[in-house]
Amino acid sequence: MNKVLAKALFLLSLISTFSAYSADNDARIKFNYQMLCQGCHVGDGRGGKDVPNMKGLVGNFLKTQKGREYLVRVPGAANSALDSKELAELLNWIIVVIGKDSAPKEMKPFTEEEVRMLRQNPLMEVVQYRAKLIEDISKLTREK
Amino acid sequence: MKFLDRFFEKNARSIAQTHGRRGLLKGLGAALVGASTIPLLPVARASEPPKLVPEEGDPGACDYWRYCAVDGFLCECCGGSYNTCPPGTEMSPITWIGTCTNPIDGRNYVISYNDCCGKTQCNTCLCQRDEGDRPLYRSDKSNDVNWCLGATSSVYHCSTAIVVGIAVDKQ
Repeated sequence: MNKVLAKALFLLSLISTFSAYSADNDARIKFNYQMLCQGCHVGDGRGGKDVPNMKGLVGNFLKTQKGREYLVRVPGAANSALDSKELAELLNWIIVVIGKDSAPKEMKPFTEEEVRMLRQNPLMEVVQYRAKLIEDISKLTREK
Repeated sequence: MKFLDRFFEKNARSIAQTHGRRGLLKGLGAALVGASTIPLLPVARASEPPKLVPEEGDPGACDYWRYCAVDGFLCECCGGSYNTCPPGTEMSPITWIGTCTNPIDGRNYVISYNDCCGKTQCNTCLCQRDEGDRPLYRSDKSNDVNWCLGATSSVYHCSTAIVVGIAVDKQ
């Protein structure tokens, strides 16, 4: 009985330490989103006028490798003032929180290394490139 | 009623046989320790801006704390407020965002400077403080951009200063 209790308590304290940690992380990520993305993409990611809507959609880019790379190479991401670790963390957050369930189930989160590599090659032309990507992705989903 | 008597007697006896007298204390103690960890569970507390930001000063004056990075006319003097646009104008959803220190609690808040658009310049309460303003090559952090570019009409009328969150200090 004692052992079970001790284990349960230990587990509980572990969970609470971890969640305190992740609450801090959430606050930092949300702050980075507000400072660097929200101005154009708006608080819930819906964008407006010439700014693309990410809400419930942005995860679709992960369906192709080119789309995945696009999320890092797009100027707002690649040229942002964040280091690659914080950028990876922010992108993963946007995909889940703003993209809702648009990402494929087996989504692989961005790592610092991957982001560092991809952002060295930022996109110069975005609008047509993005339109082509979306066309390819929707073709892919239709075929399935 | 007899079955109640029997029920309680049976239960009392079985508890007395299987549990020590100090067992209750132990359980209670564990519950107390356990409960004390509950406030640490992930409740949305850090990221939400407080419902009521403690403020003082005149929102119609340029030295009001929220205006630390404003460059334009204060909507407060133009028939709107620091949170709302004057009638007949449209708030641009696309905007620039900065932080200001609230002198009351010393915390940094994230402020969204949404412009109100669609009428000619308000021309009252010009306020230009520009703290944290960056050159135009960092357009997302520059207040020299006409942020009405996100509204239907790109004619600038005045600026709001909406608290959208709390800043997190870099560790």
